[in-house]
Order: sequence, then C-alpha cells, then structure tokens
Amino acid sequence: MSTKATAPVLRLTDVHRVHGDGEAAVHALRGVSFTAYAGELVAVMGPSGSGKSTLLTIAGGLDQPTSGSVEVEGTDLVGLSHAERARTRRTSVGYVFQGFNLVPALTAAENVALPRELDGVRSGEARRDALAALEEVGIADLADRFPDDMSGGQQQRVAIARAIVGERRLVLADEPTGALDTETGEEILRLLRARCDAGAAGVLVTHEARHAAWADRVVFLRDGVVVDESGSAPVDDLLEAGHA
Amino acid sequence: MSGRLSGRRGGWSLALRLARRDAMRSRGRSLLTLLMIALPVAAVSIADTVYATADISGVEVVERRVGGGQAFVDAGYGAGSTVFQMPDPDDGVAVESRTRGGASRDAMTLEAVEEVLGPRPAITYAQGSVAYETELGVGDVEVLEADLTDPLAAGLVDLTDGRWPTSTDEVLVNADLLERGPGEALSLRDGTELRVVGTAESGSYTNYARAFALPGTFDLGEPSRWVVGGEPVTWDEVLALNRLGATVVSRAVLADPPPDSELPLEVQWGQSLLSGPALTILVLIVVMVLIEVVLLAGPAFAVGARRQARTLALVAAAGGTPAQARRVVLASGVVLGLVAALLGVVLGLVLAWAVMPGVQRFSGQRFGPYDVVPTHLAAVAAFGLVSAVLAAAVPAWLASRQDVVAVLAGRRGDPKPSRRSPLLGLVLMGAGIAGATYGGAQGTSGGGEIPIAVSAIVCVLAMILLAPVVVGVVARLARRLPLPLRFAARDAARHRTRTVPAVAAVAATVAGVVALGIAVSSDEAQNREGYTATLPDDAAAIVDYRRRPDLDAMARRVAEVAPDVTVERVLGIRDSGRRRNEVRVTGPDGGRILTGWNSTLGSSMLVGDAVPAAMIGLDDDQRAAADAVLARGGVVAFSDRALEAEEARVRLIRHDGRERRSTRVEFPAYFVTPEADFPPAQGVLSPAAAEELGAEVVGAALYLPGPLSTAEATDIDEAVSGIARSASFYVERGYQTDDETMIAQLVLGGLGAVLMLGGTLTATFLALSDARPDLATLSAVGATPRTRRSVAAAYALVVGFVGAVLGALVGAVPGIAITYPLTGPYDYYGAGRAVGPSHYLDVPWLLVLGVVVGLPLLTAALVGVTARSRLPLTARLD
Repeated sequence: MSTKATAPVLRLTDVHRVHGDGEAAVHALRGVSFTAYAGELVAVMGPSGSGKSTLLTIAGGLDQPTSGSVEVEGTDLVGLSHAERARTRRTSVGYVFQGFNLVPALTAAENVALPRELDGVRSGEARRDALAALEEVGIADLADRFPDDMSGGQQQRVAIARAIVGERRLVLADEPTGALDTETGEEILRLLRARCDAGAAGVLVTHEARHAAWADRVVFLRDGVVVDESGSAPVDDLLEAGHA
Repeated sequence: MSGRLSGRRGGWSLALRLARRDAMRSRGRSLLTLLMIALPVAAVSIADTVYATADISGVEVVERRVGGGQAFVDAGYGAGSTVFQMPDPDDGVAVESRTRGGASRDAMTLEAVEEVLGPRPAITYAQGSVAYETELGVGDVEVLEADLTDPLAAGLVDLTDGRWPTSTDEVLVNADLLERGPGEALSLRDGTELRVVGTAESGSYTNYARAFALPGTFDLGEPSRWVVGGEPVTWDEVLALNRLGATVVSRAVLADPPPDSELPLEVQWGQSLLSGPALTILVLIVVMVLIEVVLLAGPAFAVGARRQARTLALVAAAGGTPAQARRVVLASGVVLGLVAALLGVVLGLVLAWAVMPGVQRFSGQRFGPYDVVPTHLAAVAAFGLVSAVLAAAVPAWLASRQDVVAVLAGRRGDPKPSRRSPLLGLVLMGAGIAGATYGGAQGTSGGGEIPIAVSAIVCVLAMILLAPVVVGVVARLARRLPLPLRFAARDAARHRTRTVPAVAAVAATVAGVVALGIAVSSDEAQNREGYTATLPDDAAAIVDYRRRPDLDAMARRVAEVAPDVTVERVLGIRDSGRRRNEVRVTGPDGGRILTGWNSTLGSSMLVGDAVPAAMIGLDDDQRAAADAVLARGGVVAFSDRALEAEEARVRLIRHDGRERRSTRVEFPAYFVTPEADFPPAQGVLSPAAAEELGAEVVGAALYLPGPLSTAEATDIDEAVSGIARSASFYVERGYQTDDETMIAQLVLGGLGAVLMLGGTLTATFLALSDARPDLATLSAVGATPRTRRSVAAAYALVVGFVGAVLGALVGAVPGIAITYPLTGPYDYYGAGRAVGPSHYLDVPWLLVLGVVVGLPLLTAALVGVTARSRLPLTARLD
C-alpha cells in the first residue's frame, strides 16, 4: 500500500517544548524523535493534550522547540531566523488545518497562489501554478470562487492544493477531516495519500483510528512522549498496544 | 522566487488586494473609517474652497475693479507721497510721504496721470459716505459717483431695476438702502432731494446702504480716482504712477504679474507673511488635527486587524514574513485612506458649492466665481491618506507580532503590553510639563505660546503612551463594580489595541477643549476685571461735542422720541472751546494728586451741590461724606492715593485765546480714591466754590438715569445723531461678553461634544461587534437583553469617562500655562506702567464638568438606547 521511503524530508531529533516557566511550566513535548520520508504518510495519534498539534507547528517552523533539532529537507530550522523559517514555509512546507483554512477575502485560486505570491512570484505565474494544483485535487472549475461559496470538503481540497503548490514536499495536516462528514473526509485523505504516493512526505495528526489506516506508519504520542512507533505493524495492533 | 523579491512586488499587490476585498467584506466598518477620515478632509476642502472663492484678488473678476477699462488709478494718497505697491495693491501698499513742514498735499490730477500713460479715455470714480434723512434722524449711505453708462464703467455697478441716472438730481439705490425707506426720493442732510430712478448693486460689495449717481451729484471733493481705458497699462507705468503717489490696479499686470524680484523692497514683507510663528502655529495645528484623526480612525483599524488575525496567521503559515503581515494591515490604511481622501475632497467641493450662498450672506464682499485650488486640495487629500496609514500603523505592527500558533488554535494572540512605552510616556509627560512651564514663564514678553503649543502635543503623545496603563488600572479597580461595568472595564483592558486609540481620541478632544476653555475664560476674566463702568447700570449720558453745544435741543428731542425717560442735566465747568477753564486740584502740599481721568460726562470738573448720580466710583458712605463737603461749599476730588487731608488747593486757569488768568483758592475737601484706573472726572466743585473761583459753569451732559430699554436706547441714539453727528450717546450695559468669546465657547463645546460622541460611539460599537462571541456566551447563560444594553452603555462610559478624565488633566497643563502669556499685565502706555494683577486664571468648571461627567453619561445613555439588545448567535470565529 505504500511506496518505500527513500530520503528523509522531515527529521525531528529529541525535540522538547516547554510552555511557560517555573511552576507554571507545561511540557508539551518531551524528547520526541521521528522521521518522515518522501513518499510516506505518517499519522500522529494521541489523546487530547498529548502534544500532537505542537509537534506539527514545530515541524513547520511556526513554533520553535525548547531544545532538539528539526530538519526539513536537510536544513535545521532551529538555527534559522524568523524570515528564513517563513521562507521554508513558502517553499518546502504546506499546512492543512481542521477548518478556516482559507483567507475569506481571496478566491480559491488566489488562496492556492498565496505562498507563491508571498515568495514574490509574478501573479500570472502564481495563478498558473495554483490552477495546476487545483487540477490535481480535482476542483479546477472552482478556481474563482470565494471560500464562503464553497462546501467544507471543497475548502479542504483548496487547502490541500495550497499545501502542495509549487515544489513543496512536506504536507502537515492537523485533523484535516475534523469538520467534514465521513464520506468527504475519506476523499480528503485519499487525496493526501495520493500526494504522498506522488513523492511528498505527509504528516497527519488525527485521533481517529480509521484515518490512521491511510498512513504508512503511526507515531503514538502521550503526554509529550512517543509511546510507540511502527513502520510495519498493523495499525490496529499498534492502537491496542498504545492503549494498553 | 527569491525571498528578497517577496519584500517588494509580491507583498504589496497581494496586500492591497486583500485590503480591498476585506474593505468590501466588512462594509460597516469600512464606512465608519471612511467617514472618520473623509469628514475632516471634506471640512478642510470646504474651508479652502470657500476661501478661494471669496478671495477675488488678482485677475479674477477684475472687471469689478477696473470696469471695462484697462486700469483703476487711485491717487487718494495725495501728490506729495510716493507709494509702493504689490502687483495687486490689495495685497500690499506702502506709502512714503515726502511732504514735510506743512507743504500742501495737492490733489493729483488726471493730467498728471495722462503725462505718464499718454492721452487716453478715462472716467472719474469717486466714493464716499453721505448722510441722509431717515424717519427718526440720520443714516449713512455709501455713494459711488461715476459716469455709469460709459463703457469704461461696465461691471462696476449692476443695474437691477429701473434705468441709469441721466442727470445729477437722479440716483440709484441698493436693496439695503431701499429697505430703509427713501421711497421716491433720497433726502440728503443738506436738503438736496435726489430722485430714485432704479435699484442697483455694487459689483464688489453686498453690505451697507449704497447709492450710485453721476459725478457731481454729491459733494465728494476733487476727483482722485479714475478708470482709464486705451492700451494695457504696464508694470513700468504702474511704477511711474506709484512715484506720483497713485496706486494702480492694472488688468495687464494682474494677468501677468512681474516676478517677485522686481517688486519694490518696501512691499516685499507681504511675501513673507507665512513665515516664522505663523508657519509654526499652522504646523502645530496640522499635527494636532492629524493626531486627532489618527486616533479617531485607530479603533476601526485595530478591530479590522483583529478580524484579519486568522488571515494573517494563514499568511504566516503559508510562509508570509512579519513584514508581509504588517503590509496587509497597512494596505487597508492605504485603500481606505485613498478612498476617504477622494471622497472627502469630492464631498468638500459639493458642500462648498452648496453652502456658498449662505456664507456670502455673512460677507460684505461679493465672492468671485466658484474657485478651486487643486494644489491645496491635493495636500488635504494627502493628509487624509497619511492619517489613514498612520492609524493603521500600530495595529499593523501589533498584528505582525501576534502569536500565530495561538490564533491558528482559535485563541486570541494579543502580544504582551510593552513595558517601555509607559516609561517613555512618563518621560514625555515630564518634558511636556517642563515645556509648558518654560512657555508660561516667558510671560507677556512674547514667544511663550509656541513652546506651550508644542508641549500640548507632547503631553497628548505622552497621554497616548500612558493610556494603556490607566485602562489596566481601571480594569483592576472594576472588581467591585456591577457586572456590566466590570465586564466593560475588563474587556477594554483586554483589547487595548482598540480601546487605547478610542480613549486617546476622546482624551485629545477633551484636552483641546479644556486647554482652550481655560485660555478663553481666563482671557474673559481679565477683560471683565479690566472693564470700568462709566455710568450706573442701564443709565445713559448724552454729550454734545459741537463747538456750540445745545443740550436743550437734545433734551427736547429725547422727550419727543422717548417721553417716559427722565432727563437730568449734569453741570460742569466749561473746559473746551476758545474761552475755556482749566482746573488743577492739588493736595495740601501742593503736589499733583491724580494722573488721569476720563471726561465721560462732558467736563473735566463737574459742578453740583451733591455728587451727581451719573458719577460712579463712590460707595454710599463716601457719597454721604462727599455730599456733606459739597454742602459746605467745598470740593470733592479723586486722588491716586488715599489722602487724609481735609483741604485742597484748587487753581483755576481761564484761557481766552492766548490770554490766561489764574485764581487759586483753598477749599474744604473730600478725597476719594477711585476703584477704576481712571475716574470719570477730576472731581466735583460745589456751586459756591465754582463761583468763588470765577469758573464758567455750563451744562456738560444730559444724564438719563434709566433704566433704558434697548428700543428706547436705539431711538434716542438715532435722534441724537440726527441733531449733531458729533454728539455721543452712551448707554452703560455693564461688561458685555464679547460675541466672539461666546461663539468661541459654544463652538468649543459643540466641537468637543461631536468629536467625543463620534470617538466614543465608534469605539463602543466596534467593541460590541468584536465582543459578540462573549456577549453570546453571556446570553447563553441567561443574561437578559437589558444586560446587553447595560454592557454597551458601560463600555461607552468607560471609554468616555477614562478619556475625559485623562484629557482634562492633560489639557490643564497647556491651558494653565497659556494664561501666563495671555493674561499677563498689559503695559497700556508703553511707559513701563503695567496695570492690573499679574495673571488671571479662570477654569470654566461648568464646561469641564460637562465634558468630563456630562458627555460620557450622555454618550452612555445614547448607546444604551440604541444598542441592539438581541443578537444572532455567533460562532467563536468568523
């Protein structure tokens, strides 16, 4: 069901993240390490408050780890400036959130073109890239609609298109199906899976076991620690192990 | 593809597109912001356009001044002088008189003009003021004499009805004069009757009663003004005529004025009018208005940035840099600022056109055609744009620092308040107070106003930096307050980005109102204190200043027009004319006792067996004592210092032409120190004393104890001036607050109220729409609609009250400081003798109280009444 992993796109090494300090300190992540390879979809699972979302924001450089290293395509984000990390997000990383993914004032195509335009690409060229990405997710005909005029599923497709536009090879998805009905949710995951099969690395945060079934591997987090990581074990077994 | 490129092209076009769409999506807020910026732009555009239209100097409507001719030559300064003029003499004229030692100032003649210009067609143009008979007495009419039918006169006068006069016993009158009822004929004072053959209006003026006639109709003396035709009059010819003592309005020169370098040095001062202090003041006003507009528009941008928080977070997630996020918010300032500037200018032009007829009614000068100065309007529009961008600057900066992860997770990512800015605020406040103190210490010697005005702006800036702290303190103090106030205070503190500009806008307004209010009422206090009544309240006096006064005729005429009014006669020594008496009162030591007095009752020394009722400045005890001395045949004298002596030496000098004879007698005396700077006379002689001195006693004035009604006073005034133009009628109405002061206070209060209401209301409704999710939660747990109204009102109260208190405190600093230069002692006579106390300070408590307590309560009430009490349930995020 998967293409064999080759080169690491994302590598987290012993990542700690502490919010606040002193007695009020909260350890969101305590020494998390894992790797996502090109062509691989990794599911990150865990109960609420286990640090899943923190993991994702750190992987995309939106947040900085308190210690440890975060490498995206071989570059350690920890050493980078704010602007350089922003550049990494424009060129290497795509995000898909649970909902409210799109800028309401921009059309679908413009939303997809956003990272390209932010990168200084001419708007005509950015639009061509955006249309290509929309084509890939199958809604090129909705390019000039505003988010308010689209269904939730369509909006998530646009979000995925934005996450993959250009040459970006790391897609980070945070409960991308949370606001969708089951059927639409499955479609979104199929799309994500297809993207990874085409060569991207994907990290999918979810708390639903059946979504994790789309993944090549599952990383199970609890209280900021990787409880288990499996490359080959059937997902169901893993889940049981995690709950044991 | 490079990151560097993203700093330029990509950022702005994307940001502007986002801003444009966002403005369209939230129409209400955009409209609010537009108005905040467009209204001041419109107001300034109106003012500028009305001013430009009213200003008719230069080539505009030159036919009103030179008629159908080439130039208007005015030799009114006389042939003995040299004049220096600007290309348009209305812009500046300097005169140098060459005549000295009584050399006659011959009137200049047309021949002299033609010597310079060569023979050419010309008409005389004479104007003056002529008295005519009204029903009750005499009125003044402004007259213009010219050959009105000559083509050279075309445009000077517009015939509205009837025909042009054809002989010197015919006249045209204007509507103003017609209203005063000359009817068929205009009767002049000298008995001439002029037939009214039509109505006409002056080309230049709209005020006063006016009449137009052929030369020679009125006795206006030798003509000294001409409208000349023929060839265009050049600048060199203008200069040549200037040397002969005539100013020239030349059509050709106005159309193509000489360069500034060719202007005579004597009038070049006119060019630098807008320099130094005037320019500084202008800059300060512009800065102050800019601050106010920025603050008023600030909350809208703050809320806008908050609404865009998710968008900005998504931009960050998609790889946008903080600079790009900043640009998105700034771009909304650019978009709204541009639209508001254009809208404001267009609105201003339309409104200026609409109000022009109304403004014309207040001006005696006929306006020119609708006139627009594009460069000025461009500057005003630029001002609007800059203020919008500045208003968006702080929200933009804060938005770029927001916690992206928190916003993406659905929490609000407010950055922590800066610890440095309140410190900077304190430093600035100290600097402001120091500046105000320095300015105040300059006193009346001048130059203090500018440091004070600068310090006012510094204090306002300091206040803006300190406002977050104050809002935070208020929230902490709100613990014991009822729920709506507590909710409002906490919410205000949590959302400082929108609360602070609103509070600061209110505070800046109140600061201005309080500072100016203190200045105006202190000035007023000084004027009131400095006012000296010359008669008892509502009484009147008539003094006939003619060479041969005739008080009897005056008294008869008063009895005719106002039969119910009592008329008393005030006696005094004759001290004017060829044969006159001069009285000098000295103390027992022979020294002068009084430096100056007014002769408001017609004589420097009154005569009576009691102190005349018309003479004020004595209290009841003094009056009784004075009357006793007069009954004994003594004298009452005013003295600068208190004197205990009981006798005075009185010297009477009788002048008769060049002869003078002097008598000196000692009399029992009573000395009074006047309250006012100058008493109405030196004193009062008893009739016996006057006789002993040999003084000629005459009726000095008529005294009307009154109280006179306004109508009676008007009738008597007209009747008196009907008998003698040099007679004076004066009614004592006590200190009258200057109309201008009253208007200034009303305008201040009104403007303050409007700005304050505007600032508070926008901030409140923005806050309410921003706080919708919280209010929804509130109603979900069972809050009544009334609670929601109360919260709305409480929010307005918090913003209005905190702003007003801050503003009053900040405004008091420059307000009190400015009273030192404003109301310091005057040196009336330039002789180092300053009069009055060193400084007046009058705080208009009613105004302050109204602004600090009244207006916030009023605003809160308004909000409470108008706030929607029901609201649709909303999700946590839009």
